[in-house]
Amino acid sequence: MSLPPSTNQIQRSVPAIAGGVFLASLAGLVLLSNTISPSVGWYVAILAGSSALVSVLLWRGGEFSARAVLTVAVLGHVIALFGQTIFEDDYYRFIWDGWRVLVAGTPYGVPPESLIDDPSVPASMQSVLEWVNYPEYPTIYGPALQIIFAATSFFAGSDELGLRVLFAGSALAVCALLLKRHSPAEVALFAWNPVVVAETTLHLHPDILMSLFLLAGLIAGRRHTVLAGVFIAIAAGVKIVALAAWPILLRLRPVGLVSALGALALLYSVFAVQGLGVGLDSTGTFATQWFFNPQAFELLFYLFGPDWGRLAALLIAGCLVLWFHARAQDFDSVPLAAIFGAILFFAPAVNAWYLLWLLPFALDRREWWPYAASAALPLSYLTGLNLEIFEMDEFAVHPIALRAEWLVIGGAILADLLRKRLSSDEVRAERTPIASPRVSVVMPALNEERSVGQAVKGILYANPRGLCEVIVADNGSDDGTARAARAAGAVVISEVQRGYGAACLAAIAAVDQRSNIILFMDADLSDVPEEAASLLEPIISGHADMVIGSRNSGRVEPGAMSVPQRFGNWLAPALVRLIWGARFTDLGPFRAIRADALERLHMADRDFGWTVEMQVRAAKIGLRALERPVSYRRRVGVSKISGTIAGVFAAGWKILFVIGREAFGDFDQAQQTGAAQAHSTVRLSGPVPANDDR
Amino acid sequence: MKTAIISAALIAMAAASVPAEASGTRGGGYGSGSYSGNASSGLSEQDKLIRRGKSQVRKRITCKKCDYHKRLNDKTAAEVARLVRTGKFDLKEQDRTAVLYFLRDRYGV
Repeated sequence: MSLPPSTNQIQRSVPAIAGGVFLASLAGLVLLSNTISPSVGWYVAILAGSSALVSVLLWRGGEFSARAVLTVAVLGHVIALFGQTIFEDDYYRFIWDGWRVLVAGTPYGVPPESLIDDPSVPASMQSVLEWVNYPEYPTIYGPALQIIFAATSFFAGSDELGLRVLFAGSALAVCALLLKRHSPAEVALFAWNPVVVAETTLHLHPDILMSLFLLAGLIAGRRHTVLAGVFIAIAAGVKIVALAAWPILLRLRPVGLVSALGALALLYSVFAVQGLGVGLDSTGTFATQWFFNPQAFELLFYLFGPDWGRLAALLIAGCLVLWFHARAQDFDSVPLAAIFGAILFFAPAVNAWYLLWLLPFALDRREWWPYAASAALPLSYLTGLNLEIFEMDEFAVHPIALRAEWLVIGGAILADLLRKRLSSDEVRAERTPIASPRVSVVMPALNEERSVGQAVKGILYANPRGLCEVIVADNGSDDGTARAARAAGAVVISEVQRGYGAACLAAIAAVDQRSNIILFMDADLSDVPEEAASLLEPIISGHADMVIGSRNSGRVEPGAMSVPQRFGNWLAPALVRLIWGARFTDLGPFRAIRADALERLHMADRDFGWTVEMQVRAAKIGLRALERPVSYRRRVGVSKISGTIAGVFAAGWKILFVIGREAFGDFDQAQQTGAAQAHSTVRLSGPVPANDDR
Repeated sequence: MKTAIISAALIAMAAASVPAEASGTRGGGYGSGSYSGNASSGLSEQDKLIRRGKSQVRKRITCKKCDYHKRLNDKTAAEVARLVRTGKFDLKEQDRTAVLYFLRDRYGV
């Protein structure tokens, strides 16, 4: 009597089944492609169905070896080498462009139709030229592609086998690179996806080259910054859409961006110097008029019309791209799949092979939508032309197919959002109560002789739980600030480099090592010391790592805050919320934070950016942050910032700069060289008051 | 949840816009989109016939397994046109018209 297979046995057989489906589907596509006028319905059914099935089978993982993943992928591409490219004709242009580069030096500026029946074109290339689509337009393909096409043409002539081998090799190289970053089980999701093989080796689309160079750039990363810049530039030279990944270069040393700009300029200049342009005219036509199988753009099209709809799509996709970049924790976690996905979602033209831009990067996150898209977008081959339905516009995707695409892709996006929400609800940080709180008060001060003594006495008198010391950081005062603070009972340290952040950093360095909470407050009597307890309580009880005193939620004495201050304190938290999702209502200086949490933030800003830097970094690393309403009184003495227009602008600009820097830079990397950078911080407007008007 | 609701609303609105998309009103290329500033391909009837005809020629006359693979040229075009008229190549009536139109436009036969 045979026993039913165990779960483990089934799990072990999943790779074999998935690999079998993958290879069988490719064999089916190849067989169909070798028949006269094959059915597009069957072709699409095999492609979409097998893509869905393989993804489902591989989703839960299994026992894979890198060698097995690569071997099966190689087999898939080898099978595809025997196929014919049907329902697609872009490759004629690639062969033509390659030949033109070899014989004319540039493929740009000359529409292929002007050379039809030209005696200078050999017969073998005339048979290619015959089928170049849109021959009335000069080529739009990027300079890096042109060089690659030329090399392929040199070796393979007019035979498309050259392109097949090139794209197969590129796809397999992507697989090999992915194995450096992911497990074999994860890589199989890409390597064994029938759409990947179909759109590279079978349908002959060069988009895989863009992914290859981008991936190479990511892997070169920080260790080989120049090389990373060059690879990422070549990616943009293959497909201009790769520019959407370029903000990632800001996370590297500046030489990365410089090398990328140089390499891209070099690529374009090779052709530009020949005086026939670099295809920008045709690219402009493509960008402003192309329309095929749109997803969300369909809605914008009907809402705003063709022109405004394109502009709206551009703005939305552009903002999403920046948003995804800004939210990324570091260089290695920029969600390139989501970035290219956002572009495609709002693009006026969406082809199945555009998935090659994002599928290699989809392995970074466990999300369904890329695989749903790879099952859905092959439906875009069901056009009036391919279906041979005369009643349909020849390039219209069948309405049922289009709706199915929307349903599958939209449903998957929705499901991913819900899964993310549910999983974040499940994560509940543990309480971390502090049994023996030891609070160090940090009070930066610059020329606060009239108020600092009272401020120190005030907090000592309020005596919040755990208070053990008050440190006044004298930021180069030329009055009796230090003397007054010392007389009131504070420890006084001196930081001659002006700047709120510089003073705070100096004070933190002097904090008693046993302190586990740091309380920041101003020395100008604008903060109410009795309210310190409400900031400390959530930290002591273990409910928060950081508590910001919110003046906007509390009581602000008339005249205590200027209009620009109020605006800045609205704008900066709004940006922080937009980018990182952290809700703050103020950048107030009256705040408390666990000492160990502060250490994790690697604080570095030495002037106005200190408060916003702390909040942004807390949001980026997921600290538990709370706000408590606090009062804000009119300060003693004249404000040195809000009293001058230059001061207001300098502070506002610095705060926005810090938000931008935190969004597009890697603060952990900056920390590694922080000591060197710290003292090179540009002073914004001469002497900076230590504690006013943030 | 708000994100999910907004996403669902967007998808529903997009789906609701489909009725405007009657057949024959969209642009595209040979499986790869078209230059078109609006929902219609913007091609003239003659251009459409040429594209249809060219597509059919590639599928049924010059494909890898077809009789005229890499053999359609000025010299053979008249012969191909004759065969099309006699019903060879398994073409529907409209496709036959399109193929003949393409052959006339391209080779003058």
